[in-house]
Amino acid sequence: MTMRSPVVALLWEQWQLTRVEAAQRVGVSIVAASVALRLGEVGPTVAFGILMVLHSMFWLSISKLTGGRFLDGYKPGFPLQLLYTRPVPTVVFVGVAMAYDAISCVVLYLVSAALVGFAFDQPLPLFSVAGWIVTFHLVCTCLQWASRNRVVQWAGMIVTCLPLYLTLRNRVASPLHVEFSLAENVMLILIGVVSFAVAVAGVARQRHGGASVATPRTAGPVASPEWLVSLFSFSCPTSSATRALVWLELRSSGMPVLAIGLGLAMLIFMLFAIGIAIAPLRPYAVLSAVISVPAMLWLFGGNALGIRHKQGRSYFSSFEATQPYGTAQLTGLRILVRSACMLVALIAVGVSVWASSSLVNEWVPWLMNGKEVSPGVLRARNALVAEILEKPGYQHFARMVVVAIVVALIIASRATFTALRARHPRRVNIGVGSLLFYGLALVLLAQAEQHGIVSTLLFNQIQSATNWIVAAVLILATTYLVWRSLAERLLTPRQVLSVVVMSAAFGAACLTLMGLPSVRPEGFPTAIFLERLLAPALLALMLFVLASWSLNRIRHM
Amino acid sequence: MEKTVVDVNTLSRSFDGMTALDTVSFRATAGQVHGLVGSNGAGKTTLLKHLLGLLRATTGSVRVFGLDPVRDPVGVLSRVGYLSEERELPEWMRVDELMRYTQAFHPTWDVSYERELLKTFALDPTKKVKELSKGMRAQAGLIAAVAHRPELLILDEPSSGLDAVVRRDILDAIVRAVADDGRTVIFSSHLLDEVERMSDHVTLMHQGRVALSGVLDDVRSGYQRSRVHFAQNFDQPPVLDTALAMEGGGRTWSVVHSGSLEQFRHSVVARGGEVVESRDATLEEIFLARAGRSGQQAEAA
Repeated sequence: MTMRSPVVALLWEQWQLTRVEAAQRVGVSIVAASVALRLGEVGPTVAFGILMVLHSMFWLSISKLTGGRFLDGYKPGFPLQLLYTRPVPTVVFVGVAMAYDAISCVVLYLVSAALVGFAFDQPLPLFSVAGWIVTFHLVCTCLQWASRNRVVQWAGMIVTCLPLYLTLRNRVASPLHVEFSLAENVMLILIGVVSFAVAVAGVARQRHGGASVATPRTAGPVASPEWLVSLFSFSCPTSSATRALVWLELRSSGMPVLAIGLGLAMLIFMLFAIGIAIAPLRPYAVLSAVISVPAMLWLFGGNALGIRHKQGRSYFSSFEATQPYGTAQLTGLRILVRSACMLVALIAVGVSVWASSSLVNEWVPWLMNGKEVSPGVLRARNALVAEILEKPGYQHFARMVVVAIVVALIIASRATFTALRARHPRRVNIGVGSLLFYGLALVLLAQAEQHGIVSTLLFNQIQSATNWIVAAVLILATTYLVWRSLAERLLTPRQVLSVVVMSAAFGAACLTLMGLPSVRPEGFPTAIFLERLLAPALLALMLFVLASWSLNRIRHM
Repeated sequence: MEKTVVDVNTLSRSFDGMTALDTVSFRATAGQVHGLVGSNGAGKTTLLKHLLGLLRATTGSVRVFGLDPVRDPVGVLSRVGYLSEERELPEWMRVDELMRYTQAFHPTWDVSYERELLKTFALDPTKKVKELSKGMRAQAGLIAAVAHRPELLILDEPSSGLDAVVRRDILDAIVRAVADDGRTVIFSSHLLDEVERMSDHVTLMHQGRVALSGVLDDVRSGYQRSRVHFAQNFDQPPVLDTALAMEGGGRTWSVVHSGSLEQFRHSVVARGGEVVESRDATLEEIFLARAGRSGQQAEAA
C-alpha cells in the first residue's frame, strides 16, 4: 500500500489499531439495541441509550497504544508519542487523531442506529446527536491527552462531561426525539474548538519537553495507580511461594481495589450528606450510588491473570511465567484474591449506599425544573427491606453464595477472555463475531415472527434448537476442558473435585433463589428445564477450568 | 557418565508460517558453560524459551532434568535460574522486595550470596525497579536468577545493558562459579569474544538450525584461516575444497576453511597456489563464515 501523504499514513495506522474494536462495537451495539427494542414502549429510549453509551464512551483503542488500557497500566498523556519524531506539525497529528476518534465513533453510531431503526421500524435519532458525540469525544480526548495529571483529568471529566451528559438527557423527548437549540449547537461547536486547541497546546508541550511525556511501557497486571500500590507497604513473606504470591496480588491489585472501594463508599456518603444542603449535588450523589458497583467491577475486575500489553502485543510476563508455581494454582489464587478484595470493596460501597439512602428523606422536597423528584434509591431501599423481612434465612444465605461466586465468575470470565484474546486473537474475534451474528439473527427472527413474516412454529423450533445447542455446547466444552486439563496434568483430580463442588454449590444456590416451581412450571420444555437446572453449575465449572486452561496456553505458548 | 541436563531432540517451531526452529537437536550436560551464538532471528531465544517451557514443543521433544518443562513447570523451574532478554521485572517492587519475593519460590536461596552480589553491583535495595537503569535492572535480574544457586542457569543476552567492567569481571566470575560447582550455564550472546571467553561449549545457530555445536576448542581447531597465494589472478573466489569463506582478490586470498590443513593445502596446490600462512580461526571468523555474508559468498562460489 502506498501512503501518499502523512495524513493518510496516520489514518491508516489508527485504522489498523482500532478496526477490530470498531467491528466488535458495531456488532455489540446492533445486537444490544435490537434486544432493547423488543422491550416495548421504553425500548427505543433504552436502545438509544445503549447506542450512545457504546459509541460515545469507552472508545479506548487509541489510549491502548501506550501499552496500557484505562486504569490498567494506562499512562495519561498523548499516547501516540512515536509521532513526535516524525516530520509532521503537532497540530496535524493531534488533529488527525482527534478527528479519527470522533468521526469514526459518529459513523459507527449512525450505521448502528440506522440499521437497527430500519430493521425494527423505529427511527432513532441520527444526525441530531452527531454533533454532540463529536464534541463529547473531543472533550474526552483533550482531557486524556493535554495533561499527564490524573487529578486534572478526573476533575475535568466531572466538570465538562457530566454537564454535557445532562444537556443531552434534557433534550431527549418522548416519543424518542432529540433536538438541540441553535445556541446549544453553537456552544457544542465552541467547546469542541476549545478542546482541540487545548489538546494541541498540551501535546506540543509534551513533544518539546515542556511537560513529561507518556513514554510507552509495558502495562503490567497492576490495575491501579502506582502511588496506591506504594501506599500499602508490607513485607513479603519468604516462608512459602503461595504466601509470596498472595502478597504480590494484595500489593499490586488487592489492597488498591479495597482502598478505592472504601474511598468510593465514603465519597458516596459525603455526596448524599452534602446533598441535604446543596440540592444541585443530588443528581451526582444518586448517579454515584447507581454506577459505583458496575464501575468498580468494570474498572477493577479485569485482567486478573496479569496479561501484559505493549504496543499491540499481549503476553504473559516471563518473570511470572518462570516462577516455579503451578498454572492452575496461580490462576485460582489470582482470581480468589482479586475476587475477595473486590467483594469486600463492593460490600463497603453497598453499605455506604444503604446508609446514604436513609439521608434521602432529608432531601424532601427535591425539586428539579419545578417538578418534585422521587429518588429511585429510596424506593430500592424500601423494596430491599421488604424482601429481607419476607424471605427465609436460607434464601439470604443462598443469595450471599451467589453474589460471592458471581463476582468471582465475572473476574474469572474477564481474565479468561483477556488471556484467550492475547493467545488466539483471531479465533476469539471470530467466535465473538459469530455469537453476535447469531444473536442478531435471533432478534431479527423474533421481529419477523411478530410481523407474521416467519411462522411462530418455525420460530419456536429455532428457539428450542438454540437451547439444545447451548446445553450441548456447555456440556461438551466442559467435558473436553476437564479431560484436557487432566490429560495435560494442568489440573489434579483433587483440584477438579474442588471446582466441581464449588460449581455445584453455586448451582444449588441459584436454584434455591429461583425456587424450583418457577424453574419448571407445568408443561415446560425439557431442554430449557435441563438448561436452567444445570446451566449455572456447568457455566461456573467451565469458566473456572477455562481460566486455568487459558493461562496455561499463554504461559506455554 | 556425564549427567544430561538438557536434551532437545529434533525440535521444530514455526510462527505464522515462519520457521523459527528447524529440527534442532541440542544437549547440555552438568558442569558445562554452553554459549549459543547466532545472528538476529537465528532462533537462540526461541530455543531458550522452549527450555523454560515458555514455548510448547509442537514437533520434537524438550527435556530438562529429564522432565517436560510444559507438563511439569514446577519440577523444572525450581531448579532453573533465568535472566530474560527483556529484563522484565515488576516495576513497582523495591529491589529488596524483589529478592524476598523470588526467595519464597526457592528454598535453596542463599541470603549471604544475594547480599554479596548486591554489594558487588552497588545496588540500592530500597530503590524501586522502575527507578533502575537498564544495566541495574540486568544486575537485579541476574541476582534473582543466581542467588538460589540453580542447577541450570539460563541467560538470554546477559551482557545487554551491562558495562564492560561488570561484563568482564563480575558476569564471568558468576558464570565460572556456577560451572565450578558442577552446575550448568546456557547463555545466548551476540558478543563472540564473550562466548569465547566464558563458554567451554558452543552452538552456532543459523536460520533456525544448529550450524555447528561442540567443545569450543574442538570447534576452533576444526577451522583454520589461511592466507593463500596463487600464480594467476582470480576475479571471483576460486573453488577450493573445505573453504567456507574467502576474502581478497587477484592472487592473494584469505580463506576460512574446515577440515584438515593437509586436505586444504592439496586443493590449493591443485589450483596452482600455495598456503602462505595458517592459524586456528577465531569464533568470529567461523561465525561469519558459517552464518555471515562471507559464508553466503562461499556457497555461491
